[in-house]
Amino acid sequence: MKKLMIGLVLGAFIITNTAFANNSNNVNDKVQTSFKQEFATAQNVVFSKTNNYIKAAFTLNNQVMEAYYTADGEMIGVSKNLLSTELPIGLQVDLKRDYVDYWISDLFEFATNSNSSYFITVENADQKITLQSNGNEWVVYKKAKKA
Amino acid sequence: MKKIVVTVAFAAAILVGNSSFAADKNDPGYIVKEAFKREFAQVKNVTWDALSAEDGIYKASFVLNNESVQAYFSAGGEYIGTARTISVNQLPIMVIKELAKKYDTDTVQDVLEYSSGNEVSYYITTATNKGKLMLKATGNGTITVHKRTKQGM
Repeated sequence: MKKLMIGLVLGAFIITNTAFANNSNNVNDKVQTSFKQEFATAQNVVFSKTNNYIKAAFTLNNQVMEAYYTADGEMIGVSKNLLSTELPIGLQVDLKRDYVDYWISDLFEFATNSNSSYFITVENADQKITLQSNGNEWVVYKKAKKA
Repeated sequence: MKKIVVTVAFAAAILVGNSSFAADKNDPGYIVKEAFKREFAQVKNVTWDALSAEDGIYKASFVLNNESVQAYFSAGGEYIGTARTISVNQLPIMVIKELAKKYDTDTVQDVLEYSSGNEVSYYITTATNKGKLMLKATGNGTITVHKRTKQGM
């Protein structure tokens, strides 16, 4: 179930533009308590929700992050956008070596309580490829030809 | 066994301090330079330093994406790992979260990213009025105390 939820959240990032309803008044106590336990020093917290999960957008260490929860208050994962120069050096080197003729259209980190990965979308005139980091290496997560 | 010796020597070299030798001993030779080219084909300007005579470790210093990076090789051309100084904001999310949770009152002095094999770890030096801590973190947010120094030592 949790894996399915992670897939839904990642899908929202990579494939679709999911619409969130700003509805912080209706976020239940379980989610708010769970969030406060994990991110006690977070600031500028705004909750919103879809049919499938609840999102908390906030700043931590002056960085904008988003945490995703089930209605039961279970954390699905946390994400933040970053620059390619902020990637670990091994991932930067592999990217420069293997995708030198591509441009970067999206880059974010997605972390769960047990794992953390970077997702980068690179494009050229013909295709769009989303890569997921596995340690110091990239693996293809999704590949699509452009129309 | 060799890998353990090399890794320990590498960690000691980057965390404790570098002991360079005379300039003529800093040339790593053909095998190491070729190994460097295989790993970092896009890098053209490199400065070499010999770090450890007994273990034969060479440090390559260069700039990649406008950032200063150090890569470490054995005398036999084995790529040991890479280190660079990063900011707190470049740490993985779970490390930032755990730092904020457990070391909120500490001041972070510096952060070193250390890549070796398929693993990336982070050495974070924090300070309080009691002393300094060197923390070791992995991407999933696991943080352990690597070294503790009391104030005045």
